[in-house]
Amino acid sequence: MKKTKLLVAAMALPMAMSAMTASAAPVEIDYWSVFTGGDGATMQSMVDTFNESQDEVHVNHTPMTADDLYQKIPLAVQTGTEVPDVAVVHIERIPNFVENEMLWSYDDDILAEAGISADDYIESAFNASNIDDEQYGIPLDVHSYVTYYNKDLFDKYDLNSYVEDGILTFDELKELGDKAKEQGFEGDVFDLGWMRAQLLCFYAQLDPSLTLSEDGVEPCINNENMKKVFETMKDLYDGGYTNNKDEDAAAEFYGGEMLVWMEGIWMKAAVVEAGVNFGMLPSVVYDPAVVKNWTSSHNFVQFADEERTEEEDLAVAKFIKFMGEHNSETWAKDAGQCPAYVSAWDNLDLDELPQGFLAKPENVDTLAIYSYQYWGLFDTAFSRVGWDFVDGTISIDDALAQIDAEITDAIAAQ
Amino acid sequence: MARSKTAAGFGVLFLVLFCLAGAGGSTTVKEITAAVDMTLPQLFFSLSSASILLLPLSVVTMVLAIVAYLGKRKNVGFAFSAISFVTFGLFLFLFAREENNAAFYNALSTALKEAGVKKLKKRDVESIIVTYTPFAYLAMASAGAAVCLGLPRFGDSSERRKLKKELLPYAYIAPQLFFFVIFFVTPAVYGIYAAFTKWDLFNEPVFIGLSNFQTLLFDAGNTYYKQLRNGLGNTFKFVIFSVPLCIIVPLAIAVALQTKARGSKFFQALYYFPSLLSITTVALSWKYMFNTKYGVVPNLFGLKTNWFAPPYSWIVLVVVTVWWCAGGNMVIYQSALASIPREHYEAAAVDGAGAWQQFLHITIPGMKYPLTYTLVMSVVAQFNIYGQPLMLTGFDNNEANAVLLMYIQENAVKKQVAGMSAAMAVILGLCIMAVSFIQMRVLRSNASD
Repeated sequence: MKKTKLLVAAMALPMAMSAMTASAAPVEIDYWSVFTGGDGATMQSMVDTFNESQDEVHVNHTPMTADDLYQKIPLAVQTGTEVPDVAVVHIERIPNFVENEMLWSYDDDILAEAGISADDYIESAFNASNIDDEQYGIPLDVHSYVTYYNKDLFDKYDLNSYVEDGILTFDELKELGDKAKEQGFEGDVFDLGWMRAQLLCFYAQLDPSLTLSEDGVEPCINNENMKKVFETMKDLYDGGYTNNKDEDAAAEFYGGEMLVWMEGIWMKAAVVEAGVNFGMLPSVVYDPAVVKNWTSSHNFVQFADEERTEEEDLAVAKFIKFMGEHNSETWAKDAGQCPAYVSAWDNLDLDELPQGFLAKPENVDTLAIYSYQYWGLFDTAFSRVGWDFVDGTISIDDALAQIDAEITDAIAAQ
Repeated sequence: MARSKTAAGFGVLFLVLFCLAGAGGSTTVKEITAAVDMTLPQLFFSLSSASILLLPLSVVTMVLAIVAYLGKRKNVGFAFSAISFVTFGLFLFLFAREENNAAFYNALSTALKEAGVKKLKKRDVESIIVTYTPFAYLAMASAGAAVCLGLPRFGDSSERRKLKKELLPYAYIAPQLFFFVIFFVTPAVYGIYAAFTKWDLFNEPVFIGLSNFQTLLFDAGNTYYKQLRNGLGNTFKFVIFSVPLCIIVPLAIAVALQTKARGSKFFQALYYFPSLLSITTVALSWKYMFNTKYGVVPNLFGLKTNWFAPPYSWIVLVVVTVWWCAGGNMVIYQSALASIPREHYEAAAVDGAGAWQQFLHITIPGMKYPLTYTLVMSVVAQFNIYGQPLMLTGFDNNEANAVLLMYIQENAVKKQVAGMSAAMAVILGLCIMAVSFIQMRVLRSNASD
């Protein structure tokens, strides 16, 4: 009899323990992000830090490329299956998601309970996702497209005078390229890589109002300023200053075969890992008086998910608060980003960070954040003709007309 | 006989009533009540819940029952009409009991928002009450009548044996039929329906008739007109370039391996190996091999050619495709070659026929059916070309190698122009069907000669 009682007790104990554990089980949160590059590992470590800091919420992080995320999300929301509880998307995408009722705005009470306040964030980034008095996004950062240069190569070919003022113009770019080549430099001077980001930097300098559409719907890409940007890129290619289409610009820069490379600040970790002694400047400019860097902002958003509970919403808000309050320093130092949580800037020495110049108050105007509802269509349409107008397969006029027509026809057919 | 015809009549009546039948849903949120009505076809096209998948099953099986009844196969008609009756009844039962019915939630949420409910979330909805129109019950009764009129005499043992004998073959194909209807017929019907709609994937498709087809076929200034012409043209080019080689190369390899030369098994495995690889692996490997700066092909032969720009890009695409696909056809040809009696060759040799004559007059006729099969399948496969141009050439070079499936995928998923994209897919499907039909007719007439 005693043995039976012992057996029952032995069986009951683990069951009771599992029941206790179940009652204290953390809220599981599915989090999708677009961080697969140099910043991917950093984001995972930040999520791990959050998970280890408390036992009420557990975040499952799924990184994927931005293209994948933007393709999967509409289907997930439509079918209502596997919709993430929170996701990071680019600020430009938010208006279209809101227009299509794919996003849910944050509940003010839940934000307040988690301690999230607009005062803690960069004002322009926080307000950019406020549509019709509803807050759809909480910014993680602002991230810009900038210019990296190889300091060792600049020393070797005596090119530092061109970057002493912290600005590099297109004329200076060509001059320093010619000078290096005269001394035997056989690599490429400049890159044509992610051309869409480059052109948005250059276009913002010519049209500071960042007009891609006059009425917010119909595109007006086919204009004189955009034409000048296209001509600039083609001119650099024709002059032999850039890489060719099938050459990997990143690999060239990492391997010391490229002097100047335009990329996002998020690639800083990868550049450091490649062992390049680099400097960082704003985008290459036409006029030193007009500096503009195409800037985007990663935003935490909640897609429409009918199954999500208020408890999960609160858990998400706590996670977002933690990411700003406790992880901004890591995000800035390891991933090379500019955290949007300004309250954390007090802990950062902006002069020590290569990208620090972007966060300085006097440079706020250099951040060019585009907002166009049909951003995705513009992105796809431009990607089609990216190299074709540069290598002359089609004319610049045809390329611009094609981009405009593709966007217009797609809007009409949606 | 008269009972079978009457049963078929009730089957037809079921289909008519099915189209007329509908359901209503209503709910109250924050003291605002909304109600919507939807017909069963509308519910089907919403594809919003799993139980809706029972509807096509019910319709397809009733169509099969009607055909069987009219074909004097009463027992088969009974079986199919019974399946139709059960699946339809199951649908009515399950659909009304779904918690917060998804199909109606979508329609009701729109009505509630229009009525002034802000920030509607499913968790705020207490319950959705679903009711059916009388036509739904009449359809059920009609299906029941079709079943009853075909009811076999189960008490008669010879009738039972006959029933078993007649239905056994259908029992074997039942699982395949089930998956065919759910995973092929349903998406295909939905895809065809989408071709007649304007649909951004976010919201419900809006029926616009033939407008998409009019744009694609006649609006010369429109982007999609140009995409269809370019994509379909490139697809046809690719089929013409690659299909002959996808037949000839594996046939030549199979004939060569038939000689059973030393090491033939090794070469058989070697030639078959590429078929086991994914298209991603294949495309990336060849992309590196042909890379202008670092690739082994340009460096080995000292060429400066850009292999990814036309016309050379076509060569790369065809070479990669043939390398990847040859193994599958090769195995089929080897099997066919092995089945040709050796005596035919020996007799021909005695009569003085050379190797080429033997190949033409014995091998080729002996492989008539495998050749027909591989030809049709290769044409269909190459019409569906996607991975190779997407990964090797993309939309570069003024879209010189962009095939129709690339446009279809990009328009549907990336640009959310799903209605137009579905219309492109329908046109591509019709092209494949037309070409396959012509091939079958030509080959069959040759075979009968």
